[in-house]
Amino acid sequence: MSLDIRKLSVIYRDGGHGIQALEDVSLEIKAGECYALVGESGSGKTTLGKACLGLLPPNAEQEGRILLEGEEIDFSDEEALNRMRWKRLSMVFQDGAASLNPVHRIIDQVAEPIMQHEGVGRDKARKRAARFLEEIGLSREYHSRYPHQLSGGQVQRVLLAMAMVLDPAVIILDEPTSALDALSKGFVAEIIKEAKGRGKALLLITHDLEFAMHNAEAMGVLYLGQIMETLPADEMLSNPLHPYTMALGRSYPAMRTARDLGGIRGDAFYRIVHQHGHADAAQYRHAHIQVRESSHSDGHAPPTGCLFQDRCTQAIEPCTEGVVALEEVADHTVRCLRRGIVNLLELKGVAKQYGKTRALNPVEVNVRAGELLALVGETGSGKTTLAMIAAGVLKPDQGRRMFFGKDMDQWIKKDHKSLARKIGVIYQNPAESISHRFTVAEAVAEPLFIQGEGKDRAESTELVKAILAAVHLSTDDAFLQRYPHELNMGALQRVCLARALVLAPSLLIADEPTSSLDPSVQAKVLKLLLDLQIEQGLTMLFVSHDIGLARKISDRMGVMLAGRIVEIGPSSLVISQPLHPYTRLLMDSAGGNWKETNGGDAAQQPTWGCVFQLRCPRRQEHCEREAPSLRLIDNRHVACHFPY
Amino acid sequence: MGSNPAKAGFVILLVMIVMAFLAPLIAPYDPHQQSTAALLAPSVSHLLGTNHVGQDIWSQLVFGARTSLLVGFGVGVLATLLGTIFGVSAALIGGLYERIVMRLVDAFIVIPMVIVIILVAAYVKPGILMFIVLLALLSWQGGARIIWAQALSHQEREYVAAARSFGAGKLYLAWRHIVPALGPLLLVDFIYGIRRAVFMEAGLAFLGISDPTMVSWGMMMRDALSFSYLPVWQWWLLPTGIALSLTIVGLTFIGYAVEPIIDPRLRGAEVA
Repeated sequence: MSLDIRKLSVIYRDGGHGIQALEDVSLEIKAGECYALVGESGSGKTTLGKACLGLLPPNAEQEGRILLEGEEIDFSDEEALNRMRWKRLSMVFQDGAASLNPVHRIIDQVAEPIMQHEGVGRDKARKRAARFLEEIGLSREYHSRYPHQLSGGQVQRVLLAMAMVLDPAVIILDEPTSALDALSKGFVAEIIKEAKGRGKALLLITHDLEFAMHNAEAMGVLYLGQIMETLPADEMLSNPLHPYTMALGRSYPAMRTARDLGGIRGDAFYRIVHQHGHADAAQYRHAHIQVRESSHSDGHAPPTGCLFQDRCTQAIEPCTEGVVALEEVADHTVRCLRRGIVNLLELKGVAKQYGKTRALNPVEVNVRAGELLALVGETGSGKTTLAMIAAGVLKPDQGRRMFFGKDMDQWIKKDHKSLARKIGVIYQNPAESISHRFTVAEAVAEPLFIQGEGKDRAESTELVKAILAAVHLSTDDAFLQRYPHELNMGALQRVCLARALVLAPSLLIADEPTSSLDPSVQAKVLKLLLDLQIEQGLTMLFVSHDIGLARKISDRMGVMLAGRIVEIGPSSLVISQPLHPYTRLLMDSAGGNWKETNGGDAAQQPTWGCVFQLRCPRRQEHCEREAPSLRLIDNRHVACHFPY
Repeated sequence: MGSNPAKAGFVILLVMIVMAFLAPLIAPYDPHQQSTAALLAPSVSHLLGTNHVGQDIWSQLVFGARTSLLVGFGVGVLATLLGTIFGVSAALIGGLYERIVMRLVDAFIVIPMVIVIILVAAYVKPGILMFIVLLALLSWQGGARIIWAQALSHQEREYVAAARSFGAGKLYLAWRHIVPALGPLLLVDFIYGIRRAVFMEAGLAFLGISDPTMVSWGMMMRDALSFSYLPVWQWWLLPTGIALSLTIVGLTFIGYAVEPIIDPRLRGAEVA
């Protein structure tokens, strides 16, 4: 009982064009396994399902082999296909009731495949159908109704019953939960679990990442007809390796995710293959590819290289050339030249001392391309020091900094300017970070001027206006000539945002950018910041003392205390199950629940052992003797002897 | 700057400047022109009489303003310029350079300026230009130290850090951010520089160190003093002394008026 798809390609012909729906998709589903296929609409998920059953429309050209239980399906033999469908390979179609015949009672629709495939009489088939429907949870009173008389959940049961009544080896479920509420999803999960137990091979096509994570073993991420990543299903949200997988996860409202929905930059599109006078499909693949409509790259998809390059947060020059193949990385396979999401910035053992005060103990942090990493902690925990070291503004006493894979200190020494334009910084106090002698226009043009790009006045004014419009500020001349003290704080912080973004940096470092704003303005500025982060594909390091705020915006979170990182990991995990007592204290305090802290005072620091021992509710003797180091527990790093 | 002393200071300085600029028009005689009519009492033709070699004292007084202010402004500009260059560069560049410059400043401050100038002047016999340069070279250090301290604090401001993070070089920071921010301080330093130079010039001339081709109030007072047994001091020594004092008092008043600008508390109010 297995399904093996090898190099499946599908092109829909449409006059002189072809739409490339699938390209060289290979996947294998073993008995007792559920394989989830996820991806945006138009990525080719449903096409794949239909292709397996030979149900593609006549204008589709299908290539590649599909093996059912080790035996290749012959799509030219319509009779054999008919024998196979329902009996050995079945599909639960999407759109619920729309895929049922509206003029037949449902009992007849479930009985029909039994009659056709097993040659039994109508009454016998009906009895079997009724029994099966009951088994699947649809009581007898509904059996003789018409599809429109049933609820969405009941329709889904009927569809499942139809697909499973002949006990096929392989079942393809196309969006079985899209019409269902959270509670009704439970019975689908139940059926999947039971089918797996009986050794069925299941292909689950879905948008519902959480459902896929909980019910599938393996997962394939499809984008424009190509598999971008295959991974263990439960790592979808916590350990994506492809930038597309991460972006997809960020767009999904999982229960544990605290971050606001992110979306993916740009728009998905169709791949249109030009014929160029060649009639045979083999030539299509070498022809160039275009997109129908897109806000990116004036409607043209990348003609060569990675399909995701325009929407990617870490695309580099080589990504635009050649063909990108799937590669194995750990237990994933990833279609990415850079072997998955890279670290844009790596801080290796950086530390900083001011006189006798240790502002920052040696700290290791990586900032991954495209993510938003938040640093939280109380005042004096070293957040700002770490952020400014990351920004290249402050020089660490020890340790190394790698940015774009290059040593940052050497980069600064050799060519500070070119480094500076790749890193934007937003400071805590917008009024302080713009010279009061500068007008708005001068302030926003300052980075351009410093980088030697402000020479052509008209051109730089255009750039300034464009970026002001991007941060939702006025672009009329009166506003351009305003001085900082004439603006309100919200507008001022937008101006700061504009000037941090005017050079189109790769990394944005924001040090408490909203702490001087009132909540309503803060909400607007943050929304804007996040939108820009997505649309410009920015990587962000966000410093905040407000853990409540950080959880709404970050993908990962680092909790800092006394110049150390005490817990760092995916924000959803850190927030839903904080392991370090200090993280818990921060969260409780943010929620207005100030706990007794053993009489410990934040200013007091023990000379020996764990820095948190004086305030820690879990303190033990061991904590006084030895300082805990970071270790990997439950997908995040924690520095505590007694986590949980 | 609307206080009465400040207004008085401006009026005095203005009068002196007008006098210096229009000296050839105001003075009835060439101040160097000698005549046999020595030590005359004031009359219609010689408003303040004549000196021991028959030069018109009023004309000398008028031309003396020229020397005084030329030296004053010359030294003021030069010393402030030097102070700014060294103070700001020390703050921005830091490290060894900063330490060397600032120790040099300390060293210069303890050197008694008058003695150095007397020694140098005795050997070099400087012309007025040389004299200005010499005075400036010996008097920028005090200002440099204040400018350095302020530049240090200004370069910690967030807008300077922001410019730095855009990749700004030190020259850009100095020119676009630090120096404009130091503006009021530089003005005060400049005015005090003028005052000090006017005073120094007169004092040194009084001691006999001056460009002999220039008329100087200090020299006039020195000459007048040797005839103190005659009543000539009333129209020779007294008006010269008053002119010098007025100039210095005027500059002091203006200085007082702008000084609060460098007081941090008042500067805070100015910014807001």
